[in-house]
Amino acid sequence: MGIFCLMLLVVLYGSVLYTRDNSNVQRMFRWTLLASIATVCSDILWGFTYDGSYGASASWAVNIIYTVSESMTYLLWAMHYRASHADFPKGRMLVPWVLPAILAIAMCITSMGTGAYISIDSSGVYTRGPLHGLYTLIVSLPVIVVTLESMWRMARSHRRSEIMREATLAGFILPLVGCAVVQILWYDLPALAIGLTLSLLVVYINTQNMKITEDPITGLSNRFRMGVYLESRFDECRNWGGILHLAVMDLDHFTAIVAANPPPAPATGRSPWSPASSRTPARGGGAS
Amino acid sequence: MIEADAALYAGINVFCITVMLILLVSDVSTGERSRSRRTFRQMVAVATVMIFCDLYAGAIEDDFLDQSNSAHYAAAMGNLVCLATVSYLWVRFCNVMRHRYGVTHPDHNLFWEAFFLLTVVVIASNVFTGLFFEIDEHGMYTAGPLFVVIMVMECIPPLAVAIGSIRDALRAETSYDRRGNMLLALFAFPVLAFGFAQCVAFDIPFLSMGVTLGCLVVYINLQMTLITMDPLTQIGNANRIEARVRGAIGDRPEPFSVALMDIDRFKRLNDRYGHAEGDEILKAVGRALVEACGETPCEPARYRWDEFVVMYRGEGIGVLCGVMARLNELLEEAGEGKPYNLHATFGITSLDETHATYDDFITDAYAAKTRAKRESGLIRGG
Repeated sequence: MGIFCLMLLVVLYGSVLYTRDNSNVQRMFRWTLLASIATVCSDILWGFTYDGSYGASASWAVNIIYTVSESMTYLLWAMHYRASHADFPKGRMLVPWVLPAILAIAMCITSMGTGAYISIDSSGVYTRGPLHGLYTLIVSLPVIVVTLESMWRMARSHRRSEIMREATLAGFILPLVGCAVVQILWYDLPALAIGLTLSLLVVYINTQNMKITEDPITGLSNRFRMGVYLESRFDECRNWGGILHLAVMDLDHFTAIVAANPPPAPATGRSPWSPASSRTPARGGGAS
Repeated sequence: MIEADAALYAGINVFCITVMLILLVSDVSTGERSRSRRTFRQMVAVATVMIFCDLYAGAIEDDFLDQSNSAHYAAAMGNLVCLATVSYLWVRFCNVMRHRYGVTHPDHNLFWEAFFLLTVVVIASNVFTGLFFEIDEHGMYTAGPLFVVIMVMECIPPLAVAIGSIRDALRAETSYDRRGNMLLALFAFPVLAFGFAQCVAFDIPFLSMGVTLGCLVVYINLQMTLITMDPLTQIGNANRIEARVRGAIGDRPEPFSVALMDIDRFKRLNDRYGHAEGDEILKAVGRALVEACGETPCEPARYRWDEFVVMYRGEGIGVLCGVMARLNELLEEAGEGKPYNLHATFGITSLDETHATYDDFITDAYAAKTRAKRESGLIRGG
């Protein structure tokens, strides 16, 4: 099961890489996918070591790697959230996001002596410590904060595209919560790997759907969405009756405005080159 | 033979069904009703039923469910019939998509329909012959002496289409068509590989996993096509341009240039001859761009309205100049017999160290185009 989740995550990562989109949002999402791949890999390894088959050292190593990668996954998810919002205030990352990640890793490492979070006996058998629930809460804090903030923004927004975007970001937590409950009850099932895979898959698909239907400049619905919407409304009116009103508008003299207000002159050192003839290419920038 | 926990078998199938339902719901929510999407949706729906039949049959065999042998038999039959249907629908989907990627040879849809019906008849004949599989008195599924025949018959359609797609990709005239045909071949390989693995280790639902992976790959490809393709001209759109430019900025110092062009006096043509004629002009420009780019490494895309971009990854701008000259020749031919002439004016911009962001680069490209239009007297001012 873990290997299948890994395959799905690798397919997602490959497709994100294929788009060659280097925007901040996509870079953060790529890193989140990479961290989740590391989490799932360590979860798979955990399945081999938790019963002491490979000794205590291997068991500890796998658990530390798992904790680090899980913390990084949630932290990177929160950073992806930050990259998705241009108005996100700087400096508001430390307490709700970075500190929980550091704390979770510290809890895991200190457990080697205290056994508070997990306990691994001399033969390598894994058992949960008394503070395991606290660890789960701390490591999930970045995701919880992102979800609450998304829900708050969703409630304040009036635009369909913004509501959809915030709902997608808030919905990331749902498969995780469900699968985390399963993992708490039956910790030899790779439920977290499944939850993480489903969460990222839903986010990726919803993001793709939004890109398909959204105009990148204005954020309003685009021609594709208009076509789909109109077609379904036409069908409704034809089948059930009703009246459909459509307002079509354009900006007066827009072409003339754009032509009369050209882009700003390039910085010193770049001079657009244009020959006298109107039918030969003009060129701006570059050495050649 | 690999032993697998019964719960693992059921769990993997449940996970596959969840993923397929996510794909189905999100595909329906886009609202797109093209023939290719409708066929894809049908394929995903049937594949989901197939995985459910596999789950149900496995649950009966592993004593999770107390059902009769008849129910087990029906589930196993349903699994095979659904798999044959998925294969057939995949062929239909590929035949629709391959026309988009420049393939003009006949689809042989009738042949594949007949083959599908034959496969279903052969599967159904198992009720009387028991040659392909049996459910014994203990409720265990056992493969019959001719089980391989059914497996081969179900593999033939996707394998034939995959081989055909690879052949078409090798013969394709543009990189867009080549890539599109190769991606169509991608679906078959996880399905066939995992299907073979299930024949070797049938205690693990490899086929469900393969079908799920294949559908996910195809779905992602369809979504990316919608995101990056302009529906009117069938070439790249603004999203594609932005992704390419951002990629080029990240890959510096590799050379990258664009020619940003628009159609001279297009607004006047659109207003005078109507929006339908305006759309036909834009489609003609798209076709001319694809032909002008031809075998060169240039990629055309539509930025917005009547503005198009040709992107070139390589040294110098000679290739771009050649493409634009060829484009104007083709536009002149396209305008013959029409009450208007078509001509494009363009500016060329090369990526350099002063272009820190995508906006910088596009601003420069616009400056070059505007300067060219001013030089030619098409616009005043500045």
